[in-house]
Amino acid sequence: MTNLSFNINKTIKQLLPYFLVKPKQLAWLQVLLYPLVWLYANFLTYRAAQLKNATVNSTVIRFTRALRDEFADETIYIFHPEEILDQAFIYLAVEGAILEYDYLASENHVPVDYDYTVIEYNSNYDFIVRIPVALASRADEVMAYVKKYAFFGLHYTVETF
Amino acid sequence: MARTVEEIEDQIDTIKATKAELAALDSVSNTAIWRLWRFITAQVINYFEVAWDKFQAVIQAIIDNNQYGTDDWWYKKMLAFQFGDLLGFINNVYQYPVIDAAKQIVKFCSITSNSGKVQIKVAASSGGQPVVLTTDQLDGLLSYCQQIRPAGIRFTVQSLAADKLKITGNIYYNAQGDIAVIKPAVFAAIGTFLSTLNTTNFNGTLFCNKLIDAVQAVPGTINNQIDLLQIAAKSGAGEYQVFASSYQPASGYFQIDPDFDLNDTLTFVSA
Repeated sequence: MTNLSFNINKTIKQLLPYFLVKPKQLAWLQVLLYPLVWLYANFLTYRAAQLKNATVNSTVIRFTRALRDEFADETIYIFHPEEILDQAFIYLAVEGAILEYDYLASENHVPVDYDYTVIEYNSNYDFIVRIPVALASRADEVMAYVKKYAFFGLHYTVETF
Repeated sequence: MARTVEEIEDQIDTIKATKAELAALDSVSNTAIWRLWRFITAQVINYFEVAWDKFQAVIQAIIDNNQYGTDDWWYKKMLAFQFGDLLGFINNVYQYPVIDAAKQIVKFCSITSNSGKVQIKVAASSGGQPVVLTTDQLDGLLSYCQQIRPAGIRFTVQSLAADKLKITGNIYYNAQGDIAVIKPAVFAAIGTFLSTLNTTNFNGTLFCNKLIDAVQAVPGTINNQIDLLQIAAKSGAGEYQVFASSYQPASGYFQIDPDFDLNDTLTFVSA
């Protein structure tokens, strides 16, 4: 981190010739330069606040960090459906594949799992932000935050897990 | 850029000179109170300007870092990849804690757009020429790309072995020339042509005419007397693809197929 710290009042004292470092002299110079002390303090406060925001972008690694910081949850993550979507095959029972079941929505099976055809898949999102159920009530806020940084033209959504 | 203390003092002097009521402040003593205040004021302003410069530099670095997702950004990011190192969150930016050129294995890179995807072709370097990355290196690069890519952007990363070239043709040379000199010179010219294409224009298109030009420039060959009977290229284990005018390498670079050495495929005819 760039070191921008300097103490103006201390600097004034250091700059004065030793035989002129008298209380009244010093006090007067400090009073004269107080506006600069005030301005510098504001500058540092502004700087700290802006530096963090300014570095946020939509690169996955930085965006994930920003989302986790903003919503105080270290489990938020971003994933790209294209990369983790598995191909699914349907087998006949006689083929002896490991048994796996699909459920009707009315059966309320947990976790919810969907199978898509290729056509359906193509209409999916470019990326998905996953947030824990505990943050479900803030999903709109998360979406607004994502929208602020995501590239224009991409399809994305916020899901809970 | 921050002004020097002297420059700031000069500015104060200039303004002071315009104020008739300050004319009495004319002592030239270095310890004169008015000069002392001027010096301290200038000094502190200088400190502040230096701080401002530093802040501007940081902001500029952030701005530069945030111009991301462009071809140039991808290109720089590929070359910056350090195999074996992890990105750290330093000063609000993910970056390598230590820049280690020895770990920057990607030396050649091409960024193109292909069907809405960023297509990245990369190669390491051996003897100054492109070579394929190892599986571990490519896996590391892929993981790195997955982290640094803008969310939602699709990409592919490839590092392939050189596209093989097979060149068949007749080279006509001046009968008075020494074939023992001309022949290796022609081979060298083709080698240099490909080497230059590989290194200065990675993923560049090979144009047959430019290859012919390179051969014709060899002393002893007869201008316009080169019959390029067939030129073909292939990537990996694929079939040879004959082309008439140009070819875009899948890997981004070329190599003469050792199974079709120029010594066997080029015929030298005296004329």
